[in-house]
Amino acid sequence: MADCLAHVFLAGVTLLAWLGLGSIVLVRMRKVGDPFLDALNRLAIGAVSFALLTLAAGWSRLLYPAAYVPVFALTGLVGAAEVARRLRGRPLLGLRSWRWWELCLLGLLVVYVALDLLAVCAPISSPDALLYHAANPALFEQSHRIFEVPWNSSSYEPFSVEMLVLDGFLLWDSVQGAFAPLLLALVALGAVMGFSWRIAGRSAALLAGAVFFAQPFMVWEATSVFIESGLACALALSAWNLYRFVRYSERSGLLLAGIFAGSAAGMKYLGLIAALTMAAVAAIVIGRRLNYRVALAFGLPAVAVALPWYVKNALLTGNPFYPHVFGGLNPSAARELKSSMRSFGHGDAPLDFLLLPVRLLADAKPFDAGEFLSPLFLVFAPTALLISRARHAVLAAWAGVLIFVVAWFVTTQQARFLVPLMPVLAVLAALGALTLSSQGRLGRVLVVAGTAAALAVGLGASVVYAAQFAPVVVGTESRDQFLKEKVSNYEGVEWLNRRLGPEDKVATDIWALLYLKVPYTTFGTMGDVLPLNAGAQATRSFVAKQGVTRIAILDSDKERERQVGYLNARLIARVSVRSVKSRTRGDFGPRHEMLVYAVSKTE
Amino acid sequence: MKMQISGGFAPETSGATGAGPASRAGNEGERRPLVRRAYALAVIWVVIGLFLYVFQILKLIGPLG
Repeated sequence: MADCLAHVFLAGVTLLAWLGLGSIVLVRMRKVGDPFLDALNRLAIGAVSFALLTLAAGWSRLLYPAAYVPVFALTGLVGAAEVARRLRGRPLLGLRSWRWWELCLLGLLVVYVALDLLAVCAPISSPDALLYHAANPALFEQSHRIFEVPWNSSSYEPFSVEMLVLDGFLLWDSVQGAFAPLLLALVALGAVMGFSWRIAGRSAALLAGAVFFAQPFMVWEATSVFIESGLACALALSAWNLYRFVRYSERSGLLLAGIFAGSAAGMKYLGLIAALTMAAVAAIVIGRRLNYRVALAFGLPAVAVALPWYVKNALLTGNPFYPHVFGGLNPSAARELKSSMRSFGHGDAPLDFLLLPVRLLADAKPFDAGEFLSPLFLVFAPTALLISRARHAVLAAWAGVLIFVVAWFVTTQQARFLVPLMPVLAVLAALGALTLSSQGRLGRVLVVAGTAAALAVGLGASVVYAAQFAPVVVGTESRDQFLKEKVSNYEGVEWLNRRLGPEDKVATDIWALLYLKVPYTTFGTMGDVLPLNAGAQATRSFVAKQGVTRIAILDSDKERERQVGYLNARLIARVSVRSVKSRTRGDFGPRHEMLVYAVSKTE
Repeated sequence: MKMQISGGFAPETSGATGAGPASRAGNEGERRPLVRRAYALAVIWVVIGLFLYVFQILKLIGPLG
């Protein structure tokens, strides 16, 4: 528990450090007229700056706590001074004038923040994080540098959020790193509520915040070292700054809108799609004022912020968009990547597209945890079209949503990848719900009953999800026991850590790489490095090139077993392991054996 | 400018905390037929949407799963 409190404290200082660095970076830039947006801009610019500085430090082999902590402390002090300056003489929120249901929504948001803090304080157990979102930062931190990770094609995605995770590693440990996406989600929440408050008042702000944040899906998303909360943050701030430019002709708003769109493109390839969508919406809403100077003011900062990641890929692979555009993977890995991306959803026919709203509401499990999405986005966001005098703005927002959804539909239909849309949909849903409730008794009853029921169901699911982390966080369950129950094949990882030493190098198909403490490589998540159908020569070449001394594979992996047969390898252990099907429900797959081979050095 | 929930615009207040509560402009009697039709469509969509969500929840917690 003491560790948890220390992690939360350091997360607070991280926010101050982001604010401090952002204030330094933006010191010469004209502020936007809205002080709350200005504060969020500084926070987020600070985060983007930390990410790019960490990338630069990584390529310069400077990833040492001794280099990071002084910068962190100094910028934290600047941030604290900035907060003190902003709060001086400012009255606190007067809650007495709030209506009871507004207080309920505020309380709900506080409960969700507490649930998120509980979940993120537990040891990392999300499979994607164990494979690369946290595993790669761990490798970089141990090596004090950033390097190419060829066995996982996802590691070629722009990695800004992973750089912030890496900062957490440099500051303390993997749990501290896991706070980065949650902090970005909180900044996104601030943007959703701040914007809604500005355009429609407190009620809309609280409702939009609840729609966005008070859902089990967001608890999972923000506490599992995923990237999409960062995309939501970047797009929300890009949209709000664009609004400042369109409505108040604030040039700095246009520049910042471009910077945040570019920062989304620097977080993940999905963010590039989101940034292009944002550019299309910007062109729509700027309308007749659009000229080359406006386009450059948006586009140049966007390109500049995103560029390092694409240049990195171009240098490493010859393809800035590796491996999704222009190819580059071996044929079997490319096939598997394509098939894995297509494995989500109900299908990609035109009828499937038309049925998306119905399926997302009624049968969303095939979208990967889509059943935990709040229904309030889809139920109420369309009703924002009732706002007659804001119809152009609402239509522009919907145009952006549709462009993004089409791209999502034809690439990979994972519910998580819709998170970047959630800020705008939450604002639309809140405005729509309040509009509907203001126009008739039936509408009011539906809004109140539907919202209350959806929030109650969501809270129940969120509590069940977060409760699984409570024992390990408060200390009544050991870390090892927790990991055995939550991480697939963790017994195998423990065995390798116990039996192998730093002089060994293990090649494995077990994906809990974050907790593997011995030198390792993999055959590739999709067989990127050694395809499943590779023959004797390729297998021997892989082992020699990687300096592999041990191989640890599951007995179900028959193709790898065949490849081991090409080597001068001796079976030295069979370790009983099991996969985790559902962390929350404690569902396990059947027991398997992890086969461990010693490979002769003559290979 | 602060957009009222009814769809109109009122002067935006300054300051970091924003303005007061959202307006609940009713004026139902002044609604034109088109708006009434839009309202009816919105109500129907919300009913359908909530019904679909109930179906999803029933599958999630067991009876239809």
